[in-house]
Amino acid sequence: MKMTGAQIVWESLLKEEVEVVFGFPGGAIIPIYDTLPEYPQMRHVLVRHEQGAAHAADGYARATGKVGVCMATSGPGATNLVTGITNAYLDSVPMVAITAQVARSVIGTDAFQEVDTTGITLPITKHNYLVLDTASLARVLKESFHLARTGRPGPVLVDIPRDVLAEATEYSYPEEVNLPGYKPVLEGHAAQVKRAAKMINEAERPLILAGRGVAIAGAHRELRELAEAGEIPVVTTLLGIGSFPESHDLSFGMPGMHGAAYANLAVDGADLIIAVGMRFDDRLTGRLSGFAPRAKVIHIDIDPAEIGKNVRVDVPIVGDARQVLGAVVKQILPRGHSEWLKQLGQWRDEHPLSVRECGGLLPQYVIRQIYEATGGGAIVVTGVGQHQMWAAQHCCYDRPNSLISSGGLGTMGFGLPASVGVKVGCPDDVVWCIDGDGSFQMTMQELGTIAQEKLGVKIAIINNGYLGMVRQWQGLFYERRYVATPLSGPDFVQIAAAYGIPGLRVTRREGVVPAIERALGEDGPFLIDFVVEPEEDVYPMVPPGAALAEVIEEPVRGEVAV
Amino acid sequence: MTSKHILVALLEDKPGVLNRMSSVFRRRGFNIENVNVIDTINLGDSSLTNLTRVTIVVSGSKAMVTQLKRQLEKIIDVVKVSEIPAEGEA
Repeated sequence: MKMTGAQIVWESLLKEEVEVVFGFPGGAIIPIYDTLPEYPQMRHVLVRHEQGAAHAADGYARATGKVGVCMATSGPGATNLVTGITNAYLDSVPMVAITAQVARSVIGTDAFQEVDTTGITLPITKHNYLVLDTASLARVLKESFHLARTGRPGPVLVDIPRDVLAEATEYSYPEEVNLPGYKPVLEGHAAQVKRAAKMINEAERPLILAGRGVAIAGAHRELRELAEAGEIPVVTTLLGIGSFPESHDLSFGMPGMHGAAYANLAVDGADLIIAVGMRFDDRLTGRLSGFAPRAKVIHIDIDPAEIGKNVRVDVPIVGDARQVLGAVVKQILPRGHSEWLKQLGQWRDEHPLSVRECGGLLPQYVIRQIYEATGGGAIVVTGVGQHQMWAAQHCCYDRPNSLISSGGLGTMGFGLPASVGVKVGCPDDVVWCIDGDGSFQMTMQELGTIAQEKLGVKIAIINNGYLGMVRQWQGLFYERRYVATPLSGPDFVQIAAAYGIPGLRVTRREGVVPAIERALGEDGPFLIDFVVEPEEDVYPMVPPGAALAEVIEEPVRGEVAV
Repeated sequence: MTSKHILVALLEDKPGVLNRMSSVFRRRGFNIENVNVIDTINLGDSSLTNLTRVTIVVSGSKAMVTQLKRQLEKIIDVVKVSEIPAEGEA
């Protein structure tokens, strides 16, 4: 059947079972939008800025496990996507970004709204395409979805000139892909699996370190089987949170720069680290030479380039986390590690994650109340900064993908647009966007999207009037020179009201619970502006350049800590 | 210990593929000392069609070059990367 390039785009998306696209139109992409009414089954969510489209597709993908799709026009539309695509790349999120390009005849002439989109996005995508032949469009889209969702997932960008979109060609969707250079290894090497199992069986103080790869592979059950079969405690990375139930007896939280002290001591004390679907990010490891100094390391990851990149590995296993864990667990001898668990329990009792006594409104208290009010049933989406770390520390996440946060790129402004995608993907879940006043102001125009789409996102702004994480570093390492971090904000409740979104401001402890209950009682969106203690810092903290065991637990007020 | 390494890569013969490859060298901080590019049609091996063969000389430690090789293999259009012994090696 003959179809235009624009029709082929929608037909291909339907073939890939895409239900929703987050996008923003512009001149070059009009042909795609012009044919959208022919596909009433396709939902399009109009964002207010293309960065929001990429973050929304990202949030949607993390929450549902499906490929998130965003689209934008040429030039500034494409460049505005860049931050969101990079965020997805760093956190291995499956995404297909479709951009329009100027017509083939003027490519390379610096035409109006022309940029080298594939050049710009080359280092931030798993792969990208410039489609110069309408007949290849269906194949390119087929390959894009395949690449985005298989192996180590990531964003794939497809740049389509406007005349390719307008041109008609014979359409058939390919059944298979032929990519000779792309063959992800799924099954772990049998001999390596055997070595790993032997090492686990012999370890006295083993520790599982689980990352986002567990959630991506859907390996939660296998992870739990391994932990329970060998009585092995589990810690998770920021993005691994929820891949093992945090209320489980074997769960010991998150290590790293703002991880629990007991989790850091666990890594320090272990004689075997079983790292699954994670990449030893510097925020997790602290100083590499001081990382897990007593431990041998088993590293299970689907990306061979991650093995041995940062940490020396004794047993590397390249493969899908679910398949590899499933194979390893079959060779695990049931045994206890009561001494080791007793030690970990003692560390947890001695170094709990606590909230200090304070007459004012503390951010940690607010976040704990949000958690209590939702009984742990909500999906929490965050921005980046202090509030993000408190949200990771002070809620107990038992379900996979129940904390959605920007890890590798640390993208301020991720929270609100990502929660758009999360709520679209999981309309029956309670979705809380816990954001900072700085992070929120970077993308708060997406309130317009939330209002237009009637998305019942609950927004909690942890408002301390500072770019708090930077201020914390200035306080600790720059003798309290708070340069460019005091931040005035608008009246957030009035901003919400202007979009037709109800809200409340809370300045005192007594107001917290009633406000949260009011928000949960509303069907639609609700915003709460929590005006919190301005100079509360995030602790524990492993200072940059320190080893995990050198974790600082208590604030050193007004002094340089290191 | 830094030494010379020779990497031979087979790439799909597509526009922009050399850019993808050289971008990894730039991004990971490697300096290309010598590069040779040939369409495999000129190699007279009928098993190699629609491919380009790139031979690159770089300096670095063994571990760094192993990391570079794995990063190159991640490029979708790169079919294969192998290291051949440099001059003076067995």
